[in-house]
Amino acid sequence: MSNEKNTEKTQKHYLTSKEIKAIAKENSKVMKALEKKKYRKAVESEFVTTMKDDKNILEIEDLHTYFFTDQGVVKAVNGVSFNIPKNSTVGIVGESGCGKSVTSMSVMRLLQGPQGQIYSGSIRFKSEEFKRDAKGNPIPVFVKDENGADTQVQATSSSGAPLFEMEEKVLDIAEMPISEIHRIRGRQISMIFQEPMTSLNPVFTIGNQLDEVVFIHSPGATKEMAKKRSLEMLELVGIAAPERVYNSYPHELSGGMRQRVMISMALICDPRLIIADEPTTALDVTIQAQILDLLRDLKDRINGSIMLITHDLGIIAEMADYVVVMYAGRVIEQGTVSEIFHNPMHPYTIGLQKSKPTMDSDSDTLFNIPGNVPNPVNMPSHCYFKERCSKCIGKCSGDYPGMIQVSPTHYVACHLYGEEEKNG
Amino acid sequence: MLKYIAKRLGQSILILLGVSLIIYILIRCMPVSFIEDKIAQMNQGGATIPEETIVAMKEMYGLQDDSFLGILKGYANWLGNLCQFDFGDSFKYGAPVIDIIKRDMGVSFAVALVATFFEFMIAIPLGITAATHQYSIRDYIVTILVMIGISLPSFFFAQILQNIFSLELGWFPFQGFFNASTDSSPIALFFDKCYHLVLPIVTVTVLSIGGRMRMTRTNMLEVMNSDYIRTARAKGLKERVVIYKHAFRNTMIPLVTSLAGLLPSLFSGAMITEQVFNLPGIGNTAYTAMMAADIPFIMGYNMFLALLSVLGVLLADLMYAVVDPRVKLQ
Amino acid sequence: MENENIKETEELVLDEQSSAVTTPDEPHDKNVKLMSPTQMVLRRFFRSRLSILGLVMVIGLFIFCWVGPLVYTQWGSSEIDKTPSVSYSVKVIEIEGSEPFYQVIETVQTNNSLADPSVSHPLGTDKNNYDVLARLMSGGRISLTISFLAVFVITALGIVFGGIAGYFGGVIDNIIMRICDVLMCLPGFPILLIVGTLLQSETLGVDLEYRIYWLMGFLTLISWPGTARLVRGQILSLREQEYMVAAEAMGYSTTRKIFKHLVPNVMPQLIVSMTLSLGSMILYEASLSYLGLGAPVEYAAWGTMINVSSDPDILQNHFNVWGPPGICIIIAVLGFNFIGDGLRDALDPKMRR
Repeated sequence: MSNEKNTEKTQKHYLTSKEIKAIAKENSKVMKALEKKKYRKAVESEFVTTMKDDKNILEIEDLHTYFFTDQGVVKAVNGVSFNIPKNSTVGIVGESGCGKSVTSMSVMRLLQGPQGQIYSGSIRFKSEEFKRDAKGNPIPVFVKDENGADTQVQATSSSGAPLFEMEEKVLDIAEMPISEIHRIRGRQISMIFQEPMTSLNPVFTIGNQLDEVVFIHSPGATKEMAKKRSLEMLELVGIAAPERVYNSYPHELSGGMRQRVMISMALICDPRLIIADEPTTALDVTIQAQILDLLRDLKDRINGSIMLITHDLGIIAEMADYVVVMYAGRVIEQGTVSEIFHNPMHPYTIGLQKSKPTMDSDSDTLFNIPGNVPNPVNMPSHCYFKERCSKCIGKCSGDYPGMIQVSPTHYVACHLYGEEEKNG
Repeated sequence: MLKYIAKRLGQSILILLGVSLIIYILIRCMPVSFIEDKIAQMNQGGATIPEETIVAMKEMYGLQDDSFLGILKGYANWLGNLCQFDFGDSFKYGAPVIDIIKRDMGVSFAVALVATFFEFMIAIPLGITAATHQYSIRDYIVTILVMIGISLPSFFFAQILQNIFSLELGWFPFQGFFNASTDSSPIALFFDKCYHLVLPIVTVTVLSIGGRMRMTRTNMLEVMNSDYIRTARAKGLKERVVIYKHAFRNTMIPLVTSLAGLLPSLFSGAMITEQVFNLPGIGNTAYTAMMAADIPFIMGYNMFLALLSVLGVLLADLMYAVVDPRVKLQ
Repeated sequence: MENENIKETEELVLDEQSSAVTTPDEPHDKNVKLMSPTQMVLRRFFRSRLSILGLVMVIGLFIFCWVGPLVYTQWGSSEIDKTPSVSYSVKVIEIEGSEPFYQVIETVQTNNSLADPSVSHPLGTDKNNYDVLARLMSGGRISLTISFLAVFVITALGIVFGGIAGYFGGVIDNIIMRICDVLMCLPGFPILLIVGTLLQSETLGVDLEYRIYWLMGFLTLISWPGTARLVRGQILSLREQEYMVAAEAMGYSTTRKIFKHLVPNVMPQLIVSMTLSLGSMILYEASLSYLGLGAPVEYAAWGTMINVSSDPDILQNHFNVWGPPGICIIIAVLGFNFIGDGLRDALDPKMRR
């Protein structure tokens, strides 16, 4: 071209059209293959596996979730592994854009295709499903008479819903075709989204939207049963006039009310795992506390587990049993809540702790971690935190550090501790 | 609610007044005068018409004064008659304007109604598949086909249909509304008329599907990207239910309201299509009247259209309030 | 080829602007390359194959209409083919009891009208002895020019009136909007017919050749309310945006606010609506010409060329006369629609990447 000076100048920051074409070509190839896998027809044996540890309800192993954008592949989740044990709350913390929400979306398989894709890894979930007969219908549980023989009357739960025989299966969510995913969504894993204002369908009443969940997940439910269950749930989440809310449209409710409705919708089928994606960010502080109390109560009542995503360390300290700290698409430290709060090891976790405002701190200014998260396209091969880290050592310019076990439950990914462990 | 409607109706009357004034002035400026045409015809018959008769005739039709004030006077006159629900008599057809509109509207309305029905029945499913399979081959094929529909000039497409289905294959009649020979039972006549309307209906339908389909597709795409669709998926609904219950209800809102906006096109008649197929519809009649400078009929017809479009807009707004629970009229 | 070059230089100029000012677009990490905003728009535009198709169609038509006559010089657009043609037909007359007679009929046509496609006339000739291909090119120039002019005038009027209404509000806004209401309720086609006959009057002295321009001019006068409403709506909503409040707080002048902040925000929508209305203008022009309100044949646009339905013989036997202009109209309208759709996807920042 005639104006070479311009070309030179622009090349510093911007991709050339040749590079853009190459990216687009590569992306479309990979996306097509992954989309094909997502929409394939698969027999059940392809995605039934076994758990590594039977105490867990969810095991995420080496999960890679990528977004294929025009500017290159964004590795939003880049090799994340952690477990959620039964009846526990696991908190996931990190700055915005570190891949917390994408991890949860991957578990629910709600990534916006065709750009967002689970590239590799496995998400094993212990699911409890209806036992089905040869025709695919659920097998009802019959009431036993005095002699222990089945009568022809179907047993019902306390709320009057008919009962069916259940069985446990371990499913690999990452391998499931999208047509099978409704077996898990809603009834076994449910999700509370962070935008209560837009997450409810504006043209249906609250009652309609709540009843719908009951209908799809409990076969044989009648209209009265569904309504009774919905009203019960609305009352449970602390709504004073459930009947009125039941009949109103989403736009007639306040943000806090809508979030409560969202929570009741997530809990209505007694899910084994609740994913709460920043459930309280949109709410004011007094309601925040109420909602958190509510979540904790409900977890104990329905015997489920919670995956709590937040950037608020206070909430984590109050709610979580285990904590997973994420940075730039990777887990950098994980452990029990006391280990993370009393003995943080990764410089980033330490920084996070320091940047939390406390009453007893001596200095007037809050600590902040200098710099920014690296650009998600073209991640460096060394530790992602290296540029911002105050405790950098020579080794940090080498490969990305592996996970190091410091205690039976405490893991950290940092070169500082690799030496220590070897020595001791 | 009632107050809102009353206010809107008041506004509509003002708008209609403005519209009628513009049209009246334009018509009176037309060089083709009905009287002059008539005189020319009479002159051809051999007799010469004395000047007094011409003036008398002009007086009779109320066209004696062509100055600006005269035009305004004529307009006031027309408006005065209108207030007594009198649109006047058509110059050309020699009958009350309303009667002629009533007489010819039937055919146009039948064509438009059937075509609109097919338009929605075909365009909505197409729009939904195109949106749910965005950038797929299906999307491309559907989009290209319906876009060709939009891009067709109506007369060109009508001519192609005539050429293929009437002249070449002989399946459908070339033009007209019924065969003169059919003086048999009313049922046979009815079917004969329907038979003649097939090609015009196809023409109007094909031309209008594109716009509706594109509207459906855009809306559907927007809805499918919203948070509540994600919620619906997270509930464990099957994709079919997500699309046809949750997304569809939201997509329908603008579609249903656009139905009200179709009001004028239902009654106005497709002028060009009716010309090509030589149908005795209102569009055709209006065209002839316009060429003959038939002032009362042109005024009546155009005011009828303007009234319909004003009502259409009002109705669309009211429909919004009915279909969308979020909208409250103030 | 030519077009590509133009586009690239444009891109570079824009790039320079955006990198000269340190904008937040600039990557934090100097090693990381990003796409420039222009590149992003282009990428999104070209993602849909249909936009590429549309671009090819429209550019092809332009080349055909403007470069075509330089290549195809056999016939001028208003040159009458006077080659007389002689055709012979043989008729056999049989009379009982004698040898059959052969009657040879010689038909001499003084003009070469309605000729079939041949080497000298690739698309044949029409009823008036004009070469269809040459007429197609000149008709296209008229059609495309008229539509572009009309769209630009409509947009200009729309921006001015919509801008005034939206920016100043109050009484001015009210007056302009009521005028819009009235104009929007005018039945467009009948009015154009009336004006069309009005233009025939000798007192106005409009040359028949230019009547279609006047007609389209009138069409622009009654079509600007759509654009004006769009602009006004945008400006009203933008005025409430935080960044406008911020601009106010920074003490920017009114002109700066309008041209630096409001106009660039309205532009994408305007460009899209302009492209889409290009197609509908071509259709309008064609329909008017079809109804006999266009220019006389030797200055005619595509619409007039199709108007043959009155003659079933041409309709059935001479597709080469009325088919090509129809196809050209379809290509033009289709092309503009595809480009418009592509631009909407590319320029709408709300669309996901």
